[in-house]
Amino acid sequence: MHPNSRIEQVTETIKRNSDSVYRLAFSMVKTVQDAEDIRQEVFMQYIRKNPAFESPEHERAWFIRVTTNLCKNLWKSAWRQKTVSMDATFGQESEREGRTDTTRTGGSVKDISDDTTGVLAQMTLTDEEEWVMETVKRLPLKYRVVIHLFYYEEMSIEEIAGALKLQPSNVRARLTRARKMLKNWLKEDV
Amino acid sequence: MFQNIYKSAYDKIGTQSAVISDETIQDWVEKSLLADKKYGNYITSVETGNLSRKKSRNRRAVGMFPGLVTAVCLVVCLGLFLGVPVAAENIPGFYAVLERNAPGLLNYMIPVQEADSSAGIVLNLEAAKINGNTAEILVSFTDDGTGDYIHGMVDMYDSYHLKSYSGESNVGGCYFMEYDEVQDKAYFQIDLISTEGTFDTERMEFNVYQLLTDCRSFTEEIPLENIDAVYGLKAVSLNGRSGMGQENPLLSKLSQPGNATDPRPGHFVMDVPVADMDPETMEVTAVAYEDGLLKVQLFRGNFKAADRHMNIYLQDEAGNQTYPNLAVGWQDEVKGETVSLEEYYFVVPEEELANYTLWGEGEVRAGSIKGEWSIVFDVE
Repeated sequence: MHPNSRIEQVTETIKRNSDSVYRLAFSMVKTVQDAEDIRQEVFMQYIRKNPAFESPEHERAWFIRVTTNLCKNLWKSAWRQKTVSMDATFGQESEREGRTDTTRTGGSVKDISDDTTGVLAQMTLTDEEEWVMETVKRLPLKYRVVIHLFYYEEMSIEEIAGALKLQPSNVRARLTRARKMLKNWLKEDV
Repeated sequence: MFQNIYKSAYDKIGTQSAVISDETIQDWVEKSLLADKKYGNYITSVETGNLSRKKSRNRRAVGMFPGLVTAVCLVVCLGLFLGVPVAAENIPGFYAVLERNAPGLLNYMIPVQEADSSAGIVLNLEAAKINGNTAEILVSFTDDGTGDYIHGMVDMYDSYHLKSYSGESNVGGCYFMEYDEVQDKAYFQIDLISTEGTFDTERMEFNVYQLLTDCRSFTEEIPLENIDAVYGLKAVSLNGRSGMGQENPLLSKLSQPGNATDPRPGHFVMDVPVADMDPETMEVTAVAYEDGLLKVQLFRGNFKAADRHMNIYLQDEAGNQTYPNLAVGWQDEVKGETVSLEEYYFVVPEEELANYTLWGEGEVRAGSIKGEWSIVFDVE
């Protein structure tokens, strides 16, 4: 393939998947900077590995798998966890003074502002959107992924299972558990 | 509803993220391919100018240093930049957990890394330290891929045991350390003391028989907005009562003695319908103020399947907590299951109520899973 054609193909593929990779990364990590780093690393891996996609579904599944793996790797370092935790605390102090989720629901499992980084305040999110996003961020990582893929990407359970290399029954169980936790926190059916 | 809100929020996040320009992609291509020697020729044809500059810098560098020094530098740098991440990748995940929760154990816990699977859950014996008659063990639980049980705090429910040839009797405790969501593992530290001499470190056996997988703690404010609600009273037979102010006349008038058919003490509680309640939940079902008493009724669900309890208290603006003057407990039947209920009473003048908020600290230990996890190991 001529280098220019290759560059064009790479550019098209990256632009086609950029938003979904970024959104998935953001749903899994705690800061915008991390999500952007993940997105860059995903696409650099794509460029380096140059995988041959058999179909649009294959392409989508490849990017989902690489994104989730890189997000998990990001958290494997104890040092990293501590560092980001401190960042999150800073964001909490500067932008979410005094608020805990008890003000919204009358019920709290933990102070969800642990997970905020200030980014939500920069966006034009409604209170409802912000509340839902923060609540979903309280879910364990493995549940956040399936919730995002199911509700945002509107993938079927079988598609999610294929992308994450899990059994469909396992995806179904995770989805059920996540819905139950969200229902408990949001006080509404999910 | 949820989906609409979630999608709407993430749509905004997509538009907020920086648009990736062609230049950025070009930069990624360059960085990615430069990192991979096999693409050397490809880069030359795509980015000839940049590569030429890099080559000329390299030549100057080689000219300034003797070959041996350059080689040594390269080896050291490679060792630092490649060796450390590679080594880190192979370090068992429990070290990071120990560092966060019990750094004092880091230096002397010996990796064991043995596992056993039962009932869809894998028990991992991560590390141990045995010294004489004391044993410190780090274990973790994770799903075996067929189910979804481990997703937060779990409880071993005292159903674990350590055996060695020297004896089987030991005492101690286990502490839930954390659920590591990346490893998808729930970690426990177990400290045991043998009451029959020293442990035999050449062959030991660790067993677990039951896990509670739906465990959580929470603190929630209980709204005091609807305390004007009026409930009728119904008489129940108590299973238990506690509190320091039971002799208060406002409370004693709710009590009645047992009788010949049911010797348990009786009590008048708020008549709150519970027939439609889910036996697998815990919920505050009523809060009302009547005759100088703030009453709070708690539905604790099926107590045989799970341990659910709540510590209820009033708190003033200074953070001072006031506990109930009386708490009573009784049982009922809901959907064919025996459930537990409690009612709490605070003797507080109506005009002082505005000074307080009402809080509940809840603990739930549910999701019982029985299995047979057994790991034979040594720590030589």
